[in-house]
This record gives sequence, C-alpha cells and structure tokens, in this order.
Amino acid sequence: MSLDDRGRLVLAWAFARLDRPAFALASAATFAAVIFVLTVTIVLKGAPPGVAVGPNLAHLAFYFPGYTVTFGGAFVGATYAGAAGAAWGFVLATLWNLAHALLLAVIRVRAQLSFYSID
Amino acid sequence: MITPAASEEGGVPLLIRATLRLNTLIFGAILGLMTGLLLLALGVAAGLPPLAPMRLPVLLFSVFLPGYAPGLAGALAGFLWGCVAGGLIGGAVYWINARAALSALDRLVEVEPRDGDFPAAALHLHGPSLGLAIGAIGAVGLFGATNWLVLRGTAGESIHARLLSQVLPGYQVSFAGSLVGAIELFLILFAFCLAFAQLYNGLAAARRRHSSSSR
Repeated sequence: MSLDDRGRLVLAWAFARLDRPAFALASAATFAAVIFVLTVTIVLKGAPPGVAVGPNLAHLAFYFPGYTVTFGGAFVGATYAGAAGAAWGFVLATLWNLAHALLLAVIRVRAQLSFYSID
Repeated sequence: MITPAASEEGGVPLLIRATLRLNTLIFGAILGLMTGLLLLALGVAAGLPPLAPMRLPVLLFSVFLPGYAPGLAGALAGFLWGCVAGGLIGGAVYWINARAALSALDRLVEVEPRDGDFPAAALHLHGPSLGLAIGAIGAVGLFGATNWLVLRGTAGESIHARLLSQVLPGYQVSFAGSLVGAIELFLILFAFCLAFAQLYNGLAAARRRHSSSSR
C-alpha cells in the first residue's frame, strides 16, 4: 500500500460511520443476553427452601414490569433489556455519526473560507 | 483531498495520532454525556416519592460518587460525576481499542465508492481489541471499586458487592477476591465483546449487500 493510499485509509477511518441499525441490533442482542444469562445463572444456583431466589436481582421488576427471577422471567427481562440496548446503541451510533458529520462540515467550510482569504 | 502532510514521510503516523486524539475526545464526550444524563434522570426519579425504590441504585452509586443523592441537587452532582467518569471511561475504551486495532486497519474500514474529495467509509469493529479495551476497563473498575471498599473499612458491610460472587465464583470484597473477580470479569466482557463485534460486522455487511443489490 502506497503512502497516499495509507493516508486515505487513515482519513476514511477517522471519519468512518457506524451502521446505526446494525449497532442498535447488536447492542440489543448483547444487553438481552446479559440479563438472560444473569437471571438463568441465579435461577440455576437456586436458594435454600423457604428463601426467595435472587431477591436483589428481583428489584429489576421496578424498571422491567413483569420481570421475575425465573426461567420465564429471563425471557421477559431479555426483552426489556433488548429494547433498552437498542435505544442505547441507536443513540450512541447517531451521536457518533452526527459528531463526525458536523466536524467534516466545519472543516469543509473553513477550507472554503481560506480559499477566498485575501491574506 | 489528502493534506500535503499525509503524503510526506511521517505524515501518516501524524494523521493516526490526530485521529486517535480526535476520536478519543468524541467518544469520551458522547459516553460522558450519556452517562451524565442517565445518572441525572435516575437521581431526579429517585427523589419522587412514588419512585422511592429507585433510591437503592442511587445510594449504591453514592458510595463511589460523593454528593450523588436522590433529588435535584444530588442528581446534578451525579450528572457532573457521570460526565467525568463516563468521559474518562469512554476515552480510555476508544484509545485502547483503536491502538490495538491499528494493525488491522485495512479490514476495519470499508471505503465507499463515491465521487468527491473525501473518502466516505463504514466502520467495522475489531472484536479482540474491543474485548481488550472493555475487559480491561471493567476489570480495573471492579478491582478499584472493591479495594476502595476495603480501604474505607466497609468491606464487611458491603452486602451488595458480595452478591457479585454469585456470578463471579471466587470473588470476595478483599484484595485477593478482587483479583479473582477482575480476571473473571475480563474474560466475560472479552467474550461478550467478541460476540458483539461479530454480530455488528455481520449485520452491517448484510445490510450493505442488501442495499447494493437493490440499487
């Protein structure tokens, strides 16, 4: 790869965009998997007779109505976490792309202005 | 358009350093803002009587973020802490990830064929580098937070921290336990990052194939 090609590649990398839907979907799947694995792990570990399983994790029900520390609840929690993850990923990718688009626009305007400069 | 500096010997490393600095700043600012707003919303909500159960996470965070408390004033302190902590974490994640991924740069950037003066591109993620960055930050965070509890002498009362041993076997609120927990957390985060990057790259590639075939 020539020096110019490498320079172009680095420039492209500097301002490369994230694929927003792909980033949101991947975030959704990851967040959902975390809650699912966490819940199932606690359920499989269980608790002594008469003691509730995962009473602290069960507090998530306040944020995710319908969530319980059970196998069924793991699916409910995964659905909520997936939605939260999708929103988080979409916002992050949007802000990333927006910041780079704005920066590029500023660079272009400054380059145009310097073209017309008299000094 | 390539700047003259980029075409000269030494221009490319300069460009790489500038890119690292710029994107570290941008990612840090984005993550800082998102974390700050999240802590602000949580703090304000926890101050409302009907949402009192939200006090618990706020009180847990306040152990590490002095001044953070339910209510508007405490939430504003949380916003500032979130901006600082989120910004530092975001910057560190980007810096470690990007430096580790530099050797695979040609696989991470898909330059789009387009007329114009600037090479537009789509970004791919490098799973091992992302895993190294997020795993290392997570592990250092757990190690630091645990030993902060040990140093302030409240390790014995940290019932919520102790609960981590349910998902991180061998973890304890002690120096040795924090080392075991940090290693386990690193491995778990590394695995999740590999899966995340693989999924993102696969989805992004599928979308590009779909859009190019429908053109």
